[in-house]
Amino acid sequence: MSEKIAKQLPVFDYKICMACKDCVAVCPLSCLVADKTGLDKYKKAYPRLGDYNPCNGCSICAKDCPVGAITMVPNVAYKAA
Amino acid sequence: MKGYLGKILVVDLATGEFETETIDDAVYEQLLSGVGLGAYYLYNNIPAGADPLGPDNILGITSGLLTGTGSFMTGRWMAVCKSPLTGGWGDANCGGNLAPAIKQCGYDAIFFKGISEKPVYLYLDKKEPQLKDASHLWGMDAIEAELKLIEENTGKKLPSVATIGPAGEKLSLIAGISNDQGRYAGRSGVGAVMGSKKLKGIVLAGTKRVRGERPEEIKNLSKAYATKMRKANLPGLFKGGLLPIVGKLSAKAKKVGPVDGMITAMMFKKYGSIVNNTLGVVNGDSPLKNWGGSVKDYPKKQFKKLNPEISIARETSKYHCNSCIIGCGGIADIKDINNGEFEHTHKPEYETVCMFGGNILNDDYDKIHTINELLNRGGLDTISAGATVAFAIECYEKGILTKAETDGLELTWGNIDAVIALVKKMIAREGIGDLLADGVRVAAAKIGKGSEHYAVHAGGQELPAHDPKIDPMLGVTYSADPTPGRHTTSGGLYYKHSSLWEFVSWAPTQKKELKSDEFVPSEREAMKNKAMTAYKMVVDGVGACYYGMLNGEQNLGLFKYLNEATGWNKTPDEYMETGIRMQTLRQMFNAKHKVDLAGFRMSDKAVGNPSLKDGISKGVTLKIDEMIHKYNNIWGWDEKSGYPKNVTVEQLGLNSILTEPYSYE
Repeated sequence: MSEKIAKQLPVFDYKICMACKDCVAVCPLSCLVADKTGLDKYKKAYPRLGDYNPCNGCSICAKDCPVGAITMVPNVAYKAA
Repeated sequence: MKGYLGKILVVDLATGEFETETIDDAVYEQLLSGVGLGAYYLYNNIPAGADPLGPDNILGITSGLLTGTGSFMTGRWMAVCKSPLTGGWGDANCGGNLAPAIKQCGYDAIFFKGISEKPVYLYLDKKEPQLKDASHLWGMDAIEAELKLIEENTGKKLPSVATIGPAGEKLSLIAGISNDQGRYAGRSGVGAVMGSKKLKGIVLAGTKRVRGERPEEIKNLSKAYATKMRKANLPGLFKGGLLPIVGKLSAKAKKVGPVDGMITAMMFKKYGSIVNNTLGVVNGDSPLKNWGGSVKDYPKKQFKKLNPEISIARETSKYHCNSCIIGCGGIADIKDINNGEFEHTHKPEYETVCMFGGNILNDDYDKIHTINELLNRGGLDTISAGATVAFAIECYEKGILTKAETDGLELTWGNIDAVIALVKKMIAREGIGDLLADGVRVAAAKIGKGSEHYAVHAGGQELPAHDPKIDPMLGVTYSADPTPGRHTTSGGLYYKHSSLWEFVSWAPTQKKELKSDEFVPSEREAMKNKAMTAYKMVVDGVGACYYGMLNGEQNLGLFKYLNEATGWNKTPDEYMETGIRMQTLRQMFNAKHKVDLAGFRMSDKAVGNPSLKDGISKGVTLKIDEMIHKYNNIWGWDEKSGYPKNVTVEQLGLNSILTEPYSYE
């Protein structure tokens, strides 16, 4: 059975992101993980789309981000499919 | 949605039945959620005189009113119960990622009553709640059990999990509740209550969205707060070796004034709570040698080994609790310590470092990391465990405990390997560990021989690592708060951070004032304490973080967040009255259960009776009894008994939400 490909995916603006992990908490499919380090001098763990994820492009993470650091962008794989 | 859901889940562990109760809006308006909602439910539903470890006690897991609304620094959850450690009102507070998960399951709080016949855990998502068998988890450490529960319960949504370790199962009165693999609701013995109910874990996998009334306005507040926080960074040249100098300067200051909370935020962003490791030793904040020593006993060549840079160098990453924009937490690599006993641990907090550092005259910081992980896995509160170890060492050094009684352990000051062995025994309740597993008050009562003089506690709860002899308001809070022996409710330093006087009509203005004035019992100091405490109750009602509180209300903006989330449009004075109501209800719980509040007065060692012979607090004895009387008076509580007066309860309108009217004679 082939997995459904999301029409859009979240992209993070790490200049705005505060690493508060609200997006990780609200994602209904637990697609996001907070382990992206190396972006600042503090070694903070920022969120990212996990390597294996069932994201369906629902955009709740983007809607609920308190600082607007997440943008939903068209998924290249969806277009290809 | 006004930020809260208006529903609670009540789980009867004896029958396996579940009940969803609707909570009136009036309750939230009067008490918010979090600790306020917990106090409301427990006051009304725990019968007077209930055994804290019996079926009548109720354990509540509550979220904050602002949790999940997009507000910052509001992602904490609270455990509430009748405390087996103090016999009175009990609560404990924790970060991590559990708080939003409670609300995502559709409830503001979950309450557990009764006792299960066999070990169970609660599984909750958007469908019917389930109690599942936890026999295979019983005996596992808290982290192992959490990972197993995640493995067994991962569906579409990765669950958030809370567990207890073996210490909670064995009813250690100083046991806590863990989440996020070692973050703890540590205080008040909440883990023992969970263990008494044979409840090993709570697994939450809901996906309900939480909203405030005006979500875009909440976002605007969060964006403004974030802009300030992004700029709050220590200069690159600032290193941990400078912190003792900061401590020295603060100790020398004759006058004290308002503190800029964003400077404190800079410190927490870089170091977390361990910013106080060496600073606190120098300025007299850190208790040394079981509250009897000074820097003469723990000199620079020792305390400099607690430089926080040492732990920071071990950090593989920092992490944030839910909705946090500071990020004080960290994961430390400890594979090279103690023969590789553990791979990693949460960076030990200042409290842990001090209790297992200066307070036992140990300077091996690395092994404090090992102890931290042992306690996180075993399920003991690091503050109480550390205080109890210091008590045992002093008893050993004074000949009250013999080597035969310590199972052959040489419990001398600074003998960290013996302490590691002792901690393992305490978790397992083996030999001397069984004697010490319930904290200092119980241990002293069993040992006798004058050992009570070395048991430093308030009402049975071991004191945290902040000496009130440099901040008397802390001492009053230790001694007169409904949950004694806690440093997170109120203190002079917090008030100076708060800027409350800019928002609240009756909060005394903090100017640059003589430090010595704080040591004189006065209505003004009592009023500052009342204001700070009432604000902290609001903090605990919305699920906010104590470090957010230290940013100051002008930055954290809880009153504004509350109005945008609820649409209530109340004034700061009105919210502060809510805080007063919450604090009074917690104390009414103690009155209902006829708790002897005079017994909450902190130990003489902490009062400074006799006073220290050296150090910053040399010769200081707090006038604690006068201060407590003034504190009780200012709250409208009986000066001596500490119980809220009938008139106070009536004025606050509390009887309208109680099942039985309050009456104190």
